[in-house]
Amino acid sequence: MARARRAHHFGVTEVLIILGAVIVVALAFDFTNGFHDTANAMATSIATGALKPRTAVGLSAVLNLVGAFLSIQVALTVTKDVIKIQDPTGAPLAIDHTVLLGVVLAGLVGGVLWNLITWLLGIPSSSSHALFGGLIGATIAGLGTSAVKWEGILEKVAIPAIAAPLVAGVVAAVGTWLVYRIAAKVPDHTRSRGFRWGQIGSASLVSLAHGTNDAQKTMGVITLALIASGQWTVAQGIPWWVKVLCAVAIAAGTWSGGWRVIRTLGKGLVEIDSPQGMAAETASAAIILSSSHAGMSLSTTHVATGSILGTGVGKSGAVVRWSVAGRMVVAWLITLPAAALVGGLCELLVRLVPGLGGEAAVVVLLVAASLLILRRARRNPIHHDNVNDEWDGGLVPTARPLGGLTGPATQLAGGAPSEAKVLA
Amino acid sequence: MTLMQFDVAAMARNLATVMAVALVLGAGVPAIFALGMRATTLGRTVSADGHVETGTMSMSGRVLSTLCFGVVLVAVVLGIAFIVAGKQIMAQL
Repeated sequence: MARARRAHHFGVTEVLIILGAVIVVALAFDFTNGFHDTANAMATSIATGALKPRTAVGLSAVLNLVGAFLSIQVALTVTKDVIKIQDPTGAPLAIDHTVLLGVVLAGLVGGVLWNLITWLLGIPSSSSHALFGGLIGATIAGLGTSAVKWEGILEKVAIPAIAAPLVAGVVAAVGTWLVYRIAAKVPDHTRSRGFRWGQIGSASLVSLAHGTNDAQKTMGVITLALIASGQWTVAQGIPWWVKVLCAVAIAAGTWSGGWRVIRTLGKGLVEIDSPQGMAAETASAAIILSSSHAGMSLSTTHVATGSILGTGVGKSGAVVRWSVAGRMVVAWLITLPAAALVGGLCELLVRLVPGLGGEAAVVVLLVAASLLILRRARRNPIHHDNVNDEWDGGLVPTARPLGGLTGPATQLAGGAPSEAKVLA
Repeated sequence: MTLMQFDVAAMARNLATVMAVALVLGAGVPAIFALGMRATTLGRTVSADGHVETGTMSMSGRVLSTLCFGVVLVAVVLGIAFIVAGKQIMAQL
């Protein structure tokens, strides 16, 4: 089903302006990707005191930066599993390039907004799902449902999302059980001290792996936009400046902390001790590495969350807050459709408003919504000082009330749909 | 419209492989680390409440703990090598 395309045609200058917007928004997405996923590697080390909060995010940021530069594999074909806008080499298909750029821009906006909303609510949701969701929604609105690879979504997105937390949970549970059996007779303080080192090592591996995997996605999207606008060719790989910008953006995002998500993963889900922390992060590292070797793309977020749940199951007498886990699962289920909805609506704006007005409107919408979310977050901030406070049933610590504790932010995923509506 | 255009059996096989490798490395490495921790207490006396230890590590404790931590270290180095070199190294194994 081919939809009517935009009647007007853009000149070189207009194309360059849209390209600039795509690059800026892609880097914004990369930044949110960084701060959303710091928790996957560092939440357990922060929760057990193995690393001071600031040190943990600093270490993770450096390793993400290094990882982003180390990635040898080229990710030119980042979109090919879910939508039909690239051929197998990574070159754009024969689609009007301004339409393609508009779709990418709208899709990125959907991804960024969903990452910000879930961050506000402190939910560790998958940044890849948010990106894919945004792109899928924008593709449906811009190119029709025939340009979506439904079986690819099932194979590369939906099934891995179910498999990842299950596999991670089992591995981490077995690891935790073994560790506590073997180290039962080790004096407490020796055990805590030793496993803290183990935690730091395993968490560092997860951070490095994250840098090599996730920064590449944004590099791939930006390079696609460059190729589509005639500024680059497939054979040249990824421009060095794209690599540098993406590496810096994801590292800066990681450095900024994403304390809300760290708090939920480190304190909200399971009360974690250092042996559990090491078991969880080693399980995550092993699964991320072995799955990427097997050609499966398991989300770091889903793996890390499953691992942490698994350590709660594997240690007898550990507290696992299944209600928090349940809300996370709900958020995971709606991540892709919600990001798709935002991406689709943005693409409609791009198509319906004449000239560059649509693109401009989408960028303005993104900035306005981001500021709104940041203001909301500032009402009950989570930072390196209160990230480890006792979990009294909510993301916002009640021990040291900071005022303005009403609203969806205190209820985790409970407020997600209404918040999404407000922003959409 | 058939949705199952991909090889479900191959996917299940991949998942099983990931699970097996992850169990060996993801659960095995922490277990060996724990074994190393336990070895450091060999020859030492632990007080009844489990908080204070006295005495020095025995020779067997030294050997065993060094061995265990060595294995863990090798696993970490291999892990970094896999991350850095991606599929290029792994394809040659």
